[in-house]
Amino acid sequence: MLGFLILTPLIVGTLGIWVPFKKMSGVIFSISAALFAFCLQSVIYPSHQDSRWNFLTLGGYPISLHWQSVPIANWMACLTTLINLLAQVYSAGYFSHDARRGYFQSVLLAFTGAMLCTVFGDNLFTQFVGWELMGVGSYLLIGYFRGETSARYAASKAMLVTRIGDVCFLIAVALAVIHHDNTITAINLHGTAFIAWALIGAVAAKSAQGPYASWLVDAMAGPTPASALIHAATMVAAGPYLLIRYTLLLHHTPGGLVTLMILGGSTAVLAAMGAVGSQEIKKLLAFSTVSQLGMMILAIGMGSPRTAWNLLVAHAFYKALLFFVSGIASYRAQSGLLSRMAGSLHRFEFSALFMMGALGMSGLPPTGGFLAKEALYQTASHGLDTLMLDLLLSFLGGAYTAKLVKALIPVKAPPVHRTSYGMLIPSYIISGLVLINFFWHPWVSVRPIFIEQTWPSLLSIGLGATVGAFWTIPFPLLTGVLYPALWRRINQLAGWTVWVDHTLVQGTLTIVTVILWANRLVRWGGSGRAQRYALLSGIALLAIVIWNIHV
Amino acid sequence: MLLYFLIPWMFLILLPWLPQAKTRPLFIAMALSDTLQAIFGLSLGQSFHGSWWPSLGLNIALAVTPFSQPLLWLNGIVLLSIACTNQSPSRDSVFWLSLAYSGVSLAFLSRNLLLYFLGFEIAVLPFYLLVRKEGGTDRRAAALYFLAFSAIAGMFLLAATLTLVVHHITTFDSHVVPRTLQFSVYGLLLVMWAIKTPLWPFHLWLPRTHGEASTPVSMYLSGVALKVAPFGFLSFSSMLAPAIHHASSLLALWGALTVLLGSLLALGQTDLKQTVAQSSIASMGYVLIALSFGTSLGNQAAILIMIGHGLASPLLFLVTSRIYDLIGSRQIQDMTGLYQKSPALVSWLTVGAFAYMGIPGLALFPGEFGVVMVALQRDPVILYLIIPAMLFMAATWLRVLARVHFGHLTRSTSNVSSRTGSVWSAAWLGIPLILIGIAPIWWTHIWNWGGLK
Repeated sequence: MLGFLILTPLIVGTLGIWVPFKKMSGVIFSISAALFAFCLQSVIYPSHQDSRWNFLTLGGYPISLHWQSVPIANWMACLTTLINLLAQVYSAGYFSHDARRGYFQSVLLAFTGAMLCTVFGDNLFTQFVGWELMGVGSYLLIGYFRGETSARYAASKAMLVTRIGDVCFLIAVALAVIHHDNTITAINLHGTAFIAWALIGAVAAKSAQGPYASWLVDAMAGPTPASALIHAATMVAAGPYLLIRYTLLLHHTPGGLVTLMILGGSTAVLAAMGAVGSQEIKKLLAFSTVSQLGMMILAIGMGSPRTAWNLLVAHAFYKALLFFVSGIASYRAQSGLLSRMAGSLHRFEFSALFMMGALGMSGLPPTGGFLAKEALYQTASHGLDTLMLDLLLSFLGGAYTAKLVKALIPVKAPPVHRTSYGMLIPSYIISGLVLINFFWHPWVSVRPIFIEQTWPSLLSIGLGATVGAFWTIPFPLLTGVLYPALWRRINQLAGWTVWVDHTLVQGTLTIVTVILWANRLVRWGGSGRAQRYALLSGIALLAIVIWNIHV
Repeated sequence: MLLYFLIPWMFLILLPWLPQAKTRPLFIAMALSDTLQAIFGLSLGQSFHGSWWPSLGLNIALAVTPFSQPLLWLNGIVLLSIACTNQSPSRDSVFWLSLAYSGVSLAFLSRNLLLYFLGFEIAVLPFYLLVRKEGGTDRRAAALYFLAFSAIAGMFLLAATLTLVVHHITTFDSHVVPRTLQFSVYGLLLVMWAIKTPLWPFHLWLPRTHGEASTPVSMYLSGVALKVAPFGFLSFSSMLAPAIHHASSLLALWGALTVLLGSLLALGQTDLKQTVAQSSIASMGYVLIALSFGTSLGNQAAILIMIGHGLASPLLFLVTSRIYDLIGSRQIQDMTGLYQKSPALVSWLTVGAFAYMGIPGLALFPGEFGVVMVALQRDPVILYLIIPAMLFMAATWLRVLARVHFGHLTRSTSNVSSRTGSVWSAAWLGIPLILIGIAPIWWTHIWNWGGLK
């Protein structure tokens, strides 16, 4: 049954990408809804399910696709399929006049299937397969607007940069197969440190951490529903999810957790500063995603995967919501620039939709984001350095949220453009979920939070908001300026290789030419004519004489 | 088994007497029946022995082994795809291609050293003639390049074979090769493998030949004929085990270097056909890495790469020629916005490109995964060469896809509309590529590699 859950979206999605058929949207809606229903049912009535498929046996080493439903996987799948369903509905509104809507929805569906493959995967190989297919899916999604140069650049960059991590992942998988570590438990118990490091490398690239951050910011060239899905509950979120599954392995890897802390913490700060300096709404949201992912990885590095999971769930809801709303706003404003967006939302939409997302993003009640941030604060308060880091992150989070809120404040005149219900309904649903998340948390129970202990983080959010509302100077951070330079270097290297090839060809040609000339000379001399023979002998004699002259 | 040989030979004898109009249908019929014969008629363990020239040690000894069976299937499928996609083949080209086909089949099935050499040589001359007769503007030089390199390789193979034959070793099944003899034979064969596989820097003939050859020739040459030499490695490996063991790390390093330089060469091209040709060098480098250690894991990985490459590379050559028909150019920069003109072609190009990038679900992935396993097991150092190579290969194909998938058509396209038939002809290669990638276990089970419970 689990196999069907994963293969159905993959197969239907892939078919839809290739062969457009009639009523594709309807089929995809119903499959998305069925997937969500199935996942919801499996978290409400948990049952142990197991699907194994032998992929290949190579030299006696079994390589199998193995899916298993464990509680955290069920919840993650539920989240993924929910966001997928909402994004599908949203795209029906977003692309209501686009002939390629069916194609887009198919890619979205296949992408979700790939994520489910990673989520339920019970060995590294299975997770790797989903991971790779997600890479392909993101390439197609980011590159949806084919006429635009930015889409071409962003899609190629996303694929190539995440590929660096994928190669790390591939080696981890091969190592696990060689050591017969064929389940997550086995890898957690006796996986080598190398696997842990390779996984950290893979996650850093896919979740846009550290030097890899810029691909996700550029990926804004894709359509909004795709961004919502990629940012909220698939692809980039798969990184922290993977690390949560392999927490035990990370714990017994010397230096692993510290590296994660440094990587996540520094990325979170830098990306948050980048968000404060952004001028475009989608760019701001992308930077904030990178920052929030950094916080999740920071939480894992501090040894608290449950906090990371709380952050992940809260982030999934409010970020999907913010993307949905920003899509509506920029559609009405006909622009993605923050400075042009004023008054693009109705008062009710602003308060019921946008403010819920904004509160969640900054970590204020009554949202799930508040609880997750407080959990991070509690985890971080064990050490002074982490505490300062967390307060700084709260400060910056407040700052960029304030900037966003300021840009979208409603004005007297209501917006002129009408928006289809396809875009509004998913937004309302997910806004409700942000609120529900304040009271209810999947998979984990949150430690009690005493309101009187939350003042330091609330204070720094408030301070940040005050500063952020008036901040206008951009920060040129995590822009990935190195990648074009690197690309030029690689091409230079390729050019040199081609040059060496040409030189080799020329060298071979020279040798052949010399042989041909020698051959010709011999034939010319040996033709039987006495004059030629005499001439050649004379030249040879002369050469010997000259050679032997000693003055 | 004899029927498998009889079909192409009968066809070769009949062909000169047939009218030109009947050539294509009969070619398809021959390819189809021989492919069916390869798939259903040949089964593991079948063998045939006949005496031919006992004093020379040249006997007809044929057998189907777990490693030759997949390659025979590949041989049939590639020939069939060529037969079906070639709209108006000339009788000459059909004749020489079929001759090369029968030579390659002989080399794959042979258990006799000299018979293998015979098959190897039968598959050389036709390509020379084909390139020479039907190539591009610079075809004479290209054909000469091919012939010169192949002839030198053939001489080394003959020297090695004769050395063994003189010592009364005539079949691949013998296990008694004196140690001193082993290393000289291995050295001779190494030159042959380096040229014919090819390994850098002996690869010079390959891009040049592909640059000038017509599409069916390129397809067959890179799809199947390139696999004769590495298959020889597999056949010789049992009798040369100690020598292979000694040289393994060196050969693996050489293979890895070839992978790296091949991917860089592919990245440096501006012509799509050259890109495909140079990518082959990288793939064949993987094959030699896998083979170099002589483990069963490595051998199986090598076969899987050969199969994957044998499907992906002809597919891309075919797509390239269709693109050339459409826009009159093979330059990558001229292909901007090609998706607007022919989405189906772009889809197949994407499939081929993703296969080369090693995406799971396509046929090159299992083999490359196997190579990484072998490298980790035996010689992790070469991973330092393979990892950048994988990234360069991804960059190569992303650069191509960035053109064909995006932008607007700028080049005035020719009036030749994309014939749906010719577009779907890519399916002959593309569908096996996908099927093997999705479920390699089904195929390895049929080839009796074990493992399926």
